[in-house]
Amino acid sequence: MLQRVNLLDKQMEEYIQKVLTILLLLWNWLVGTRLETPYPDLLVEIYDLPLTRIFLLGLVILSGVWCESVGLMLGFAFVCLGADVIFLTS
Amino acid sequence: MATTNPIMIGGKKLQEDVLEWFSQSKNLFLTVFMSILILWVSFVNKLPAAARWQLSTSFGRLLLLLLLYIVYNIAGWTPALLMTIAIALTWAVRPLTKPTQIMEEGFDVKKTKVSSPWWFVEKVLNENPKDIIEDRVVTEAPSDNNATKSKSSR
Repeated sequence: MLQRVNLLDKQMEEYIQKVLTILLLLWNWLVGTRLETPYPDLLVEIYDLPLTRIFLLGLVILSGVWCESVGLMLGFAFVCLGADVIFLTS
Repeated sequence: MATTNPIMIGGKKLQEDVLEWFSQSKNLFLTVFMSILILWVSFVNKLPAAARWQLSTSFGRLLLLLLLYIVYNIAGWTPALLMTIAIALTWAVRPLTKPTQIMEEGFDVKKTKVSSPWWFVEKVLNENPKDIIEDRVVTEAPSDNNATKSKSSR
């Protein structure tokens, strides 16, 4: 019984990882790598705060520890966001 | 059968001690390194323009990529991911032209400490100067910013 629950949990985790990877891939494709698509105003506004950047980086590290593909996609999204915000606001 | 530990003396013992200390301190090194990387990424646009320019030259790029490879081999996936983000952002915010020191026109105030003894006039007039301020005016002829393609116009 316990083994079945563990197997289910593992399957669910893999499913969540795949869904998140696809969602982040779509975000990078449609928002991160397209200058024509604007970022949400709130995201640009809070990116200016150092604490937000550190929090986002912590999220990247944790997701990288949890799942490599999710960490990679989130890291790429962070780079695109940082580069665009610094380039367009400085 | 009882096993006995070999008695290590001299350089061998020192080597063992250093290796043991290093293996115990690896987590500490990693924590410090990750903290530096987090600061680097968070304040990448605060790096001096000259440093960003140097890190974006051919030699700088090669150096950073070699460092990334070394970090991946020593520290693993997560610090390498963080360092990749740091490198990518550093290259993304590099200056478009080579930063040069531009001398700004205007007054250049230079303070000089007063040396004792005082001048006779200062003693007589009972003056007590603390600093001597010199004013210098720096001027430059009007010129083009681009040094390579200078044109004269009429």
